[in-house]
Amino acid sequence: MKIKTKDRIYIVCFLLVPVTLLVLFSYYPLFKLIQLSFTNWNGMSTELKYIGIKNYKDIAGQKELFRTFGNNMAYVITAIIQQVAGLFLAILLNSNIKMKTTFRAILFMPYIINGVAVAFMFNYLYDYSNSPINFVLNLFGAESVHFISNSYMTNFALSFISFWKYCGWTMVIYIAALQSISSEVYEAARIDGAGFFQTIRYITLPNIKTMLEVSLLLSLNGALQVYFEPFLITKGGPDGRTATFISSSLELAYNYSKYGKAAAMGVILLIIILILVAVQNIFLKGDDAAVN
Amino acid sequence: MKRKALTVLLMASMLGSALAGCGSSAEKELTTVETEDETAKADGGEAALTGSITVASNRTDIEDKLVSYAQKFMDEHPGTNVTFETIKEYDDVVATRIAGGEAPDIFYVVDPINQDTYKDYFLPIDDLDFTADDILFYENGRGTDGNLYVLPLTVSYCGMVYNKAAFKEAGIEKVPMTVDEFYDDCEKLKAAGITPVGTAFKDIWPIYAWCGWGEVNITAGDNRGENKYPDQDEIYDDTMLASMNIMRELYKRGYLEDDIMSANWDQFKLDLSQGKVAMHYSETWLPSQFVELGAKQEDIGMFPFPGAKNIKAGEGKKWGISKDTSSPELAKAFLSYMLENPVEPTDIPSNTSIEVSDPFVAELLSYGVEPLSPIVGDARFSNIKNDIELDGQKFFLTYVMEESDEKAAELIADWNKKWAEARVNY
Repeated sequence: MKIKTKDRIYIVCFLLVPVTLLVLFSYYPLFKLIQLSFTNWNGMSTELKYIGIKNYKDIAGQKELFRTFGNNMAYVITAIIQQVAGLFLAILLNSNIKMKTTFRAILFMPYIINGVAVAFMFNYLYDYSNSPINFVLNLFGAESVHFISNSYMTNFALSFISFWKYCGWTMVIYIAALQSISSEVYEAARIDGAGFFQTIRYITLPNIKTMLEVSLLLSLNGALQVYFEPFLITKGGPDGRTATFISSSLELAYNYSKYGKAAAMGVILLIIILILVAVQNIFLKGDDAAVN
Repeated sequence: MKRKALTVLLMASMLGSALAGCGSSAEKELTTVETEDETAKADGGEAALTGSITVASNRTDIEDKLVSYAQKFMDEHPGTNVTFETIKEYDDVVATRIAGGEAPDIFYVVDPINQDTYKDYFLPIDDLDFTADDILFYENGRGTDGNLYVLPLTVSYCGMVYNKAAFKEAGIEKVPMTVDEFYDDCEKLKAAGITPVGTAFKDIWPIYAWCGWGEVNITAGDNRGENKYPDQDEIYDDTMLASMNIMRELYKRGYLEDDIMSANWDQFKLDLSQGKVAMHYSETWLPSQFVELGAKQEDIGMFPFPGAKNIKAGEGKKWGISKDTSSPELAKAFLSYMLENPVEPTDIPSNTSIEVSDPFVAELLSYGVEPLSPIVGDARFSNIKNDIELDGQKFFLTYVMEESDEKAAELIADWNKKWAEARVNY
C-alpha cells in the first residue's frame, strides 16, 4: 500500500509538467477558440459580446470561403505525391548503398530549416526577373517561367515548398517502419526467387501499411491546414486564387478585425479534420476485421 | 536510496525548468536608456517631472537615433526615464498588448481604433500647449465626444517620385502635367529601355496612393475624401475608376514592371534609385530613401500626379497617450517634446513653426498645384469596408490584372452592390 502511494506520487509528479503544458497550450486555446467563435471580438476590446451562431451562418453563406478548398486540393495532391517520393527514397536508402547516412542527412535537412526562411528562399527562387531557376533556363535557351501568376498552377508552385520541406521527414518515418520489418522475411523471399518489385508489393507494403496510413493522414491534415506559403508569398492573391482556408481566416482576423468569424472558421476546419480522422478509422477497422 | 535521490532531483529540476519558462516570458527586449540618477529632481522647476514611460515606435531602422533622442530629453529632465520600444509588426503587437491591458504609454493609432473609440484607449490631450494654428490636422485628432486624443508628428504630400536621370536619358524635358503627356512620356521611357512606372505590386501596399479613397478623391479636388462614401451607394464611383483605370491602361500598354506578380518593394527601390525604373506614385516620406540607396539627391524629384486638381496633404501616424499610463504628466511632456523636435531631419513636421527644408517637397509644391487636406475622417467608412471584407489594395491588383473589360466591370458592380447593401446598417 505504501509503495503504491509512492508510485502514485511519482506518476502525478511526472505527469504534472506535460499535462499542464497540454492543458495550457492546447486545450485552453481550443476552448477559447470555440468561445470566440460565438462572439464578434475585434481583437482588441476587453469585453466579449456574444452573437450566437451568426459567424457560422455568415461563413455558410460565403461560397468563396469554401472555394479556397479548391486551392487546398493542390496541396493534397502534392501531399500524396510526397508520400510516394518519401517511400521511394526510404526504400532506396534502406538498402545497402554507399553513403546512405549522408544522403539521409541531406534529404532530412530541409525539415530542420525554419519555415519562414524556406518561404523567403522560394520567394526569391520564384521571382520572375531575378530567379536563379529562370537564369539557368535561359542559359539553355528556354523561356522564363512565371512561377507566381494568376493561374491555378501557382498553387502547385507553392505546395512544392512543403514537398521540398517535408519529403525528408516522410522518408524518415518510412525508414523507421522499414527497419521494423525482420530481415528474415526478405531472405526467405529472396530464396523463393522474388524480384525487387515483388518484394515491395508483397512484403514491404503490407508490413508498413499502418505507418502509410498514419503518414498519409498527417500529410492530408497538413495540406488542409496550410497557410504559410500563400500568407508569406502571395498573400492569397491575386483575387484569392492562392488563398487557402486558413490563410483566408487569418486575413479575416488581421485585415478586417473579425476575430470571432476567423475563430468560427477554425472550428469548422477542426470539424472537417475530425470527420476525416473518423472516416479513416472506419476504413482501418474494416480492414482489420477482414484480416481477422 | 541513491536512485531515489536521483529521481527526486530530476523531478525538481523538471518542475523548476517549467516554472523558469513562465518567468522569462514576461521579460521584454527593450532598448533601455536610464538616467544615471533616476531619483534626481530638477532644480528650481515648479513641478519637476518624474516617472518612467515607454514609447512604442515602428522605426526599427533608427533604433540608435531613438535612444539618443530619448537620452537628450532625459538630460533636460533629470529624474525621468523614457524608453523607446521599437516593434516590427507594430499594428499586430500593439493591438495585442492593448487587448492584454499592457498598452505602451505613448503609441500611435492602429486598427481598429477610430474616433468612436479613441476615448477607450487614449487620454484627452486638449491641455497640451498647442492649437489648430500650430499643428496641421489638429482638429482631426478629436474623438466623437469632442475631446482631443491624438496628434500627428509628421505630414506628407502625395505625388509622383521620379528619377531625373532616367527622364533625361529618354529625352523628356519637362514633367508631364496631363494624363496624355504622362502616357507619351511613358512611351518614350519604354523606348529607352526604362521601366516607366514601378509598382512593387507583389508587396501590394506600395500602390495605395492609386486606390486609396482619400488619396484619389483629394487629388481629384474633393476634400471629403472617404467621407462621401457612407452616404452613397457606390464605393467605386467615377472618381475612383478614373485613377484605377490609368493603372489598368499602364498595365495593358506594358508600362509597368515585366512581371508585376513578382515586382517587390526592395528590388523596386533599388531600380528607381539606379534609374532602371522612372516613376512611382507615393508620398514625400519616400524620396529620401532613394538617396540613402545611392541615388544623387539632385537626380530624384517629385511632381504632382498628372492631371491632379490638388496635391493630397496627409497626416502621418497619429500619436496619443494611453489612458492607463502611470505617468500622464511625463507622457504629455514627452509628446510635446516630440511635436517640437522632429526625430528625423527628413521628416516633414506637422508643427507649422518648424521650417521645412525638404527639397522634394519644395519641387512638388513648385508646379502650382495647391495642397488640400482631407476633412476629419468618418468612422463609418472603415466600419462598412471591414464589414463587407473589402481590401482595396488587393482588389486593385485583381482589377488591374483582369484582362476582360466586362469582367472588370462586373467585379466593380459586385463590390458596389455589397457596399450599397451594407451601408444602410451604419
